[in-house]
Amino acid sequence: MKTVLIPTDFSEKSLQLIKNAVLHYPEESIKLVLATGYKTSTVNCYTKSKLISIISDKQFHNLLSDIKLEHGSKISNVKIDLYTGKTNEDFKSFLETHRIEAAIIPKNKLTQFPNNKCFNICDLIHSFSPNVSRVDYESDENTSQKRSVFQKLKAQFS
Amino acid sequence: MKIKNKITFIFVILVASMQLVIFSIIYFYAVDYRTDEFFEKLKKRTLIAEQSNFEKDALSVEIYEELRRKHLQTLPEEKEFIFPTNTTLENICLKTQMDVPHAFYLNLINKNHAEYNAGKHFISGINYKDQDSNYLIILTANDDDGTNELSNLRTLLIFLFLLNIVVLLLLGRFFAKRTLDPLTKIIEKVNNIRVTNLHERLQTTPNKDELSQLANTFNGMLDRLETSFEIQSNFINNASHELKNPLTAILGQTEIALLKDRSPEEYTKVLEGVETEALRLDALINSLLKFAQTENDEKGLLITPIRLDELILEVKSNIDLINPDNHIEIDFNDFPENPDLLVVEGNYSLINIALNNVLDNASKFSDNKKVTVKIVTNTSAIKIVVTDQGVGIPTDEIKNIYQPFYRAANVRNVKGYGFGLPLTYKIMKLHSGTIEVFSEHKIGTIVTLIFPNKHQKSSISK
Repeated sequence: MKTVLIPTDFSEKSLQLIKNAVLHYPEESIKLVLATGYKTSTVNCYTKSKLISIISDKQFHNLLSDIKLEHGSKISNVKIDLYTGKTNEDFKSFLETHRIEAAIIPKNKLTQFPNNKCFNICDLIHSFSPNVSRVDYESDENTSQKRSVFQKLKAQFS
Repeated sequence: MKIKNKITFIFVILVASMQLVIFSIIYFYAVDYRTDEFFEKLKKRTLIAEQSNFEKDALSVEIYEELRRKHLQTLPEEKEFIFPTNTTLENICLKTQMDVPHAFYLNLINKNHAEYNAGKHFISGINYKDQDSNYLIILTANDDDGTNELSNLRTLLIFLFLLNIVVLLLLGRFFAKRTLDPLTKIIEKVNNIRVTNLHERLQTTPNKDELSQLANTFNGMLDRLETSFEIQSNFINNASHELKNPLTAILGQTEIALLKDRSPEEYTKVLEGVETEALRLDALINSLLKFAQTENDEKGLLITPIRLDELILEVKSNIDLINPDNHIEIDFNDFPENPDLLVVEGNYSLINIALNNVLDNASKFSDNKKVTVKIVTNTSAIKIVVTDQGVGIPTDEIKNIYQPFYRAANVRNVKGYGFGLPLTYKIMKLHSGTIEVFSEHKIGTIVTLIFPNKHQKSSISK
């Protein structure tokens, strides 16, 4: 079993990277870690799981469930996490904590982050993760427009 | 009638109607005010006349006369009449030379005061009652000033009304033209777009008004038209190319064979070569016909419930016969507990062809590496997911895969006609389903056939 790190911006489009992971590791089952960077203040009353539920929408989770089902025998587990560190050492520690063995990152940047506290970790992954594969990716600009105003506000004020 | 003229016309009618109402109210209010004012004047004079005629005190009579002479301007045609109470209406009419109505007379007798006017002629009267006698004091006068003022007001209002209509016409036309100018430009631009300049687009603005939406809609339509033209052009190019190849091979072989006399074995070899190419041509034309039939035979298809797991097994066994080296594996994990969820409504042979194309491609383009087939269901759809480890499709070529005869650059050396996916796409569309292709060049491809859940109404023509 391989643990593969996949960056996400919580858009439905970003979940296509999971399909890339499925294609890249055809002979073994994979454990996925979907992660995004998140700037936290010193005082934060939310747990990570609560934050994730706030900044990700229902469509994202529905599509994730569909993809997990479609490749159920390949994908043994999917974990969503927020990287909240500030230094390179923090990121290395994050990789070690999750025992990351490989990573899939897009050639183009992820752009559909739900709020400005989220940040792209593709460069960090590229620098520090083992076995990084870069894949073609075109972000869907319309996806951000599809997010409801309420969702955006909720994510922004989280 | 042009929209520009229609807008101007409606604008003028609306504003002119409102003005007409306002001007009428002003005029009739002025008439009413002027009439009341003149009746008030007449009434005062009637009362003074009563005082001056019937006051017993001679000093008071003099004062009233003085008052009337000094302070009250004589009204045009002002006449004063005093009648005994028993005077008949006819006599009053005769004396005053006015056609006084019976209502005036009754009011005068019963209510002691009456007023009446006909045009500019006014009449006012009071019924004076004394201990000794009763008299009717009547004053008549013409309101020449009022009539002139009202006439001037009427002329002024009519002039303003006509002037406003002219101004409204000019303004309405100007604004209608200005509003519809972008529409005219759109019409001119769209009229100038031909096959040769189909790449041109209408200018759009960031505004979200209707005209901008119209321009965007036209641009969308032009995008689709341009794509259709490209597809058609590619189809003709590819079809010509594919049809020409076997013909060239046949002609080449026969030409070489006819250069000199040959042995029967050599002729047999040539004929075999010709037969191979002719069979290829036949297969190609059959594919073309099948493709065309799918397009035309939407009606009259035999629709039956199909269990997808059974169909997959049948297609797999067919492929096993043709290509025994294939490594197609059916993933039975996550199979729905309810077998009804594996059933779709559709035409068995067409769905068989569609699935056969997908599995055959997966094996063919992965050089018989492992291909995984899996059925998953959810409330809205039943999906067949086929994952292979093949050559994949270059990202910039994915958009062309549903074009007949189109073959990606990396598979031109693999036998095929470029019909599999376009035919599958049409079959899925025919069954209200879709096909999704996710591919990474040199890594593999995931093809997902998505059928609507059978609990939802199928839109297939039965």
